Amino acid sequence: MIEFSAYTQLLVSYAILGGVYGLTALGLSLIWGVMKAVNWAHGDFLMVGMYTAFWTVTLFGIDPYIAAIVAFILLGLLGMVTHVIAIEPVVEKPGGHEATLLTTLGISVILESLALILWSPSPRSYQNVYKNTFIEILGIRTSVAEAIAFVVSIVSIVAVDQFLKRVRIGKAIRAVSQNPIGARVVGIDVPKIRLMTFGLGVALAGMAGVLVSTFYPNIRPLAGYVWDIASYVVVIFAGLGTIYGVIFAGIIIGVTEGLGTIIFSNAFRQILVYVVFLTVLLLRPQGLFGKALRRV
Amino acid sequence: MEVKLGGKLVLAAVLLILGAIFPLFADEFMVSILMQAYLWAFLALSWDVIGGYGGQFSLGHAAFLALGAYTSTILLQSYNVSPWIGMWAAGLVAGAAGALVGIASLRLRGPFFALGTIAFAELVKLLLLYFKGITGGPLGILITKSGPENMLFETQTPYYYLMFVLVIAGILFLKWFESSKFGIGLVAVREDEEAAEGVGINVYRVKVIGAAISAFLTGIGGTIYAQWIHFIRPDILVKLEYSTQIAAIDVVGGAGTPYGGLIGALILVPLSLYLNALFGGMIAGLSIILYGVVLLVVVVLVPGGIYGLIRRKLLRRKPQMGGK
Repeated sequence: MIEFSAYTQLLVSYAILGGVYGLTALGLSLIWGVMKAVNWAHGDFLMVGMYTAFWTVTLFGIDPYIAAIVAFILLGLLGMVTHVIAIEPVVEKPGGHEATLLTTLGISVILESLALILWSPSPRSYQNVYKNTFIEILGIRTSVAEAIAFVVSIVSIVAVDQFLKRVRIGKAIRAVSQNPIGARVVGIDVPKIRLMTFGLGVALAGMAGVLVSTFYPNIRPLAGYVWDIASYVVVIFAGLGTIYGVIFAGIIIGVTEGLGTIIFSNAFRQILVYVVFLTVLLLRPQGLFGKALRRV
Repeated sequence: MEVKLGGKLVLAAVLLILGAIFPLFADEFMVSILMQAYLWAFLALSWDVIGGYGGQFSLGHAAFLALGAYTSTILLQSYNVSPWIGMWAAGLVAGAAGALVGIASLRLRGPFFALGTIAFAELVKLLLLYFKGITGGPLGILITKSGPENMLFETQTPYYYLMFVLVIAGILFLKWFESSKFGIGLVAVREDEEAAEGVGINVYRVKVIGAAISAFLTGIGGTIYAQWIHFIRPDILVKLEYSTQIAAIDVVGGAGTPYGGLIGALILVPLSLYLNALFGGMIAGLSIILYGVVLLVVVVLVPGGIYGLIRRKLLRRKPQMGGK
């Protein structure tokens, strides 16, 4: 029975991690779903979010959760600048999707190199009480940092969904996602909506980066990789343009990772993750929730 | 038309002679830089088959590079097979993996294909790490043989000529390829898959063989890369950074053209190596940032790459020349 509860503990921890995958994937899913453009720099925006947390916490002694708000605003601005430089000039041209792939790839390389130049490749971390304080709910032990990240993940996903359904701009974003030409006909400023969508997507990535950094103390220029592969997996698993889908997909992938750890060795677990990913990609490219929850 | 053809031949001859006599004038460092530019040019040309002509944006070509490097190096170190023979085996192993990726491209479009190739490359890296008995795992394999019969040279100049010949062969191959029935079919599939199928092109065959050819060539490049650095390890070969650079070089130079890879590599590789040398590699990331900036600028401002720009400039001037 002791073993059984240890497994439950492990699986729940991985489910919580999976919930955070949902948060890291949210911004990517929004941009991909609405603009049909993949943001290849997504992981690097997460990384910039992590550094934002590091610097605001170390320099100003601010609470990391206030840093999350700072990162949301800063990265939102950075996202809009990126959009103006790299997305808007090419998005409507023929072959625009391939061009946005290339330009965001360029942005990704630039952000990583800049982080290397400015902040060196050595990993950093900051002290915070949340990581080392544990709570126990129904016999499951978890750090406060992870619990908060999980809750914020769900709250953000619900908030984004409600924003898209109830707020005027959110409705305009959905309109552009479903029919850009029709949206223009009814008087929606499509370029402005695209700008706001990209800004919001990147802002969410920045916030996710901060929350990840509260329990994953390994802030380095390539830290985005770990999380952006997970984010891509989640978005594809969920299907494009689904908002609630990402949380379910995130938790499923988290639990799969947990099961992989229990059944196989750790080295083989990583191989398993990619095998599962490729299988899903090949067998069901529209995602698990692609049909039921297609609309943004 | 005759004048134009003559001019092209003169230009080609001048460039060939310049390339051939370059090591006589330049020092070892310069020769090494240009040699590396040729190596990357060859990899970019190989990528071009499926990435440019085929329009399948692969971000996993570092995996084919690694498969080629590992195949010939294992043959050399464990079975004493010369890389001159091993490189063909390397091409075949990489080509077989390429065919698998080609099959995947039948189901995956655009960004999904790119993601699939990233995952494929990661998988190859993990497998190279996992099968320690054959690949040496994380420690990699050190090439301990020597001698030209094993494609190992004391100086940079033989590598230079080896890559020089290979790049020329690559360009000639692409020139033949783009006007071959198969190449035209591949471009047709890129432009409109349904229409291509409608006129009787076997999309399955074209995509799978196209990816296999691209990977075959990349695998051969992998052998020469291994012979040049004398040491292979999964994490230094299978890097997303390498896959990105291969694609970026070709796109900057002009994807879907025989010369794009060479033009891109001649601009980007020396520049980034020079930046590295200038700052002694102290500022990590400085040489890579160049790839990002140039890629961004070219895609936004010069769609079609630098070769496309040159060709447009020439075409615009053509009526004037005709007038004379």
